[in-house]
Amino acid sequence: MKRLLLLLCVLCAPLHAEEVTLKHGGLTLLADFVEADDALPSVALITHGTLAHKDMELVETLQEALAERGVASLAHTLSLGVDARRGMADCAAPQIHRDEDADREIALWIDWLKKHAHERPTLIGHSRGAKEVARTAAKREDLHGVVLMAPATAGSERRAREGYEARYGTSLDAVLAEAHKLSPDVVMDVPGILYCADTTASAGSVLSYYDGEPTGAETYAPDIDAPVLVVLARADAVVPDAPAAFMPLRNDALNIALVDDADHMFLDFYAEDAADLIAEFMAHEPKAASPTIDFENADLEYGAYLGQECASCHSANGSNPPLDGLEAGYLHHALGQYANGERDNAAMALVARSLDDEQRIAIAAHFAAQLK
Amino acid sequence: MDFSRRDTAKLALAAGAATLFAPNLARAATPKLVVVGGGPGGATVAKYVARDSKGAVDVTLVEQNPTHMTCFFSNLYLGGFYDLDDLSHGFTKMERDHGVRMAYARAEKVETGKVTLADGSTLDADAIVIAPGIDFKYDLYGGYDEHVAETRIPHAYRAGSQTQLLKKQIAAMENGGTVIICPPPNPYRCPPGPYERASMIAATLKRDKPKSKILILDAKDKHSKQALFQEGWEKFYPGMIEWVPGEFTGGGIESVDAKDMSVTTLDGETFLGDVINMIPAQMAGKLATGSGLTGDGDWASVNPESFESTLVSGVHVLGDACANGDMPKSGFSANSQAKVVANAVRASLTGSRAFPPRFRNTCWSLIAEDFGIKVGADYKAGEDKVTKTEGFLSPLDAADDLRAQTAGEGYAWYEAISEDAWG
Repeated sequence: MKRLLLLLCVLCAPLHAEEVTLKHGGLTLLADFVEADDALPSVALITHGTLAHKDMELVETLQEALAERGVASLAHTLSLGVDARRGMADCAAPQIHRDEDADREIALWIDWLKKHAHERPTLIGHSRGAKEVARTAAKREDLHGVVLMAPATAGSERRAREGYEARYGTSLDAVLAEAHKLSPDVVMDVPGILYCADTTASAGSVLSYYDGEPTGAETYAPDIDAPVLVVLARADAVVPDAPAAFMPLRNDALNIALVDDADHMFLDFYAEDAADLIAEFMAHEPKAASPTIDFENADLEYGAYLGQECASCHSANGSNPPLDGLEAGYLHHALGQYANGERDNAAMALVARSLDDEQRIAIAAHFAAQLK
Repeated sequence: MDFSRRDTAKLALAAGAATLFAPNLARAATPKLVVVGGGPGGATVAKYVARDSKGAVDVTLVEQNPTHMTCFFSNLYLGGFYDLDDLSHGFTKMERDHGVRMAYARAEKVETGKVTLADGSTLDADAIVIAPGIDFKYDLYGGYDEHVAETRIPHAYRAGSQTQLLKKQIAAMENGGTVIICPPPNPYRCPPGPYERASMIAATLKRDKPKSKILILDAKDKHSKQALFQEGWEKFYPGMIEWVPGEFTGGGIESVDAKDMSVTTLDGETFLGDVINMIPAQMAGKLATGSGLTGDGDWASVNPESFESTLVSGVHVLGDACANGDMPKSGFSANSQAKVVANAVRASLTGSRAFPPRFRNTCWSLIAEDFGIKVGADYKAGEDKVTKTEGFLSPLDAADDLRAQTAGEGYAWYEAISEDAWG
């Protein structure tokens, strides 16, 4: 019923939303604060993706869905050098913003939250916003948690650079060569920058996005001193390498959750699915495993015996997901999803249905205990 | 599976003890397990018992070849997608990482407590597990024997020199030639195998000799994943593959002629082939039949919980060689059974925990390089045989990306099971 209302109301303003402003360096920054009833102590600070804004569908839907789940949030719009910026970036205007500007603005909003008695925020970032959030979070120790949604990866940045010439008609090296010759604040013609074609940008802007080693959210995630939840869309064509980039980083403090059938933009119900995961993550202690499932006292020996079956198809390096070190709650949940068809695979459905819950707990505990 | 005092005493006697030992003294020394057969069944048992017992069981693996070439996926070699190296697995990790002692020899006979090798030497054992694979009923067919198979009309149903021969013969065939495949009657190793083989051969013919044909003269009226294969052949190799069911062959092949290169069906019809892949009816490997494990039948008779022979105590038979109830004969099944047997044998030798048996099989078949189909099921130990509980089959008329995903699963399985058994 709730979902139906939400669908009907997709163009409505979020409930309990308040636009707030912040002044910095001569610019006004805008954000929407959405309250929630019986809100969790931690407020989510949401950072959008490339050239986007706080009123985009994903962010609005996410704020609404989080509020329904008892999570208050603040969604800001990165200024990109524009005073009181609203809506998608204006490509026609000179692009003078730099990659690292985002970190500064995120920090400002964290301070704003603290000034308003929201001590330990949770940072949520989508796509490029997730990389900016990860990079910011890696330098801080005052966060409740970090959520990286469909995060930009080094691979996606590399691919964007490799595809620059095909997309914009001029070699990226030529553009970078020119940018290197100029002072950072000098505005130059660019065949393209981020999603904007045939416009102008400062040399510093060009270099900040295209020069140096490609990075992604995964570059910074290991240094984040707070629990991390990586929310991935199973059908994500923008960062299809995100699972592979993050799997090796899984540990007690970093978990991965997959939203089936969702794509990079988490439209409609998929934003709700993401909100479920995020709300659950924010409500718990650092160990993301549900406190009602006792993995600590699971029968590990039985789990090892049951887990032997899995070795027929799951190895460390093959294309079926490796199992060693998978977080227990995640694997237990995934088996349940295979059993009830939420995850669609005939072979795994049979496997999952052949295991009762006790067996799934034992298997999950066993694999979680395998260090990799 | 318990060793009773009587069994233990029998073992002590069989081992040539001059006096009766009390049961606990007989096991004071590290119990010995001898496994015969380094294929997916035997290798898995040896590795799992050695690894999981952490030295509490002394494990020897007897294998006559320096490496094992898997029969499963050997069709991909015929299709040009895998090399022989990809299919071959050595035993170095078995020894170095898991502490299994390798005995590179052929076993001649097994009996309670003892394995006799071809050179006459013997190995004592507290438990024996054999996985000797299959043997072929050459006698059923006129003009056919092991020599003919090795040199002219290969069955290529034990990966190795005949697989290479078959591939060479197909490569040498002219455009427009006919490859005849004669699949055997049930039960046999890898039910979808001959049809995956037809697909893989068709893939090479389509590439290099598109006017050629494949004629399948079957002993059976239907076969595994039949509708799926027909659909796939229509899609990739239209008009190239003809399947003749048992109804029209009279139930299979009567004879072959290596000189004329022809096969004659039980129905009396003779077909000429440029290449003939005659896959004979099958039975348990020689070690099983030669050790009295098969009784009057073709396959070793075993209990469905631990696969201990019902005819010779202390000897377990798993994989293709045994009568495995509802499970198909496959590498996957052998590997699955091996884990149950490893758990049971280790429990009986060391007192470790024995868990209820559970079995699984999945057969992936490649119709084209990125087009796979699968069939699989779960099994449990029934009253007197392994019984199927639930199964699945690839759907007909599926999207290409599902078939590609299924193919990918198959490739990933091969990687994983190779690591699982020999890594």
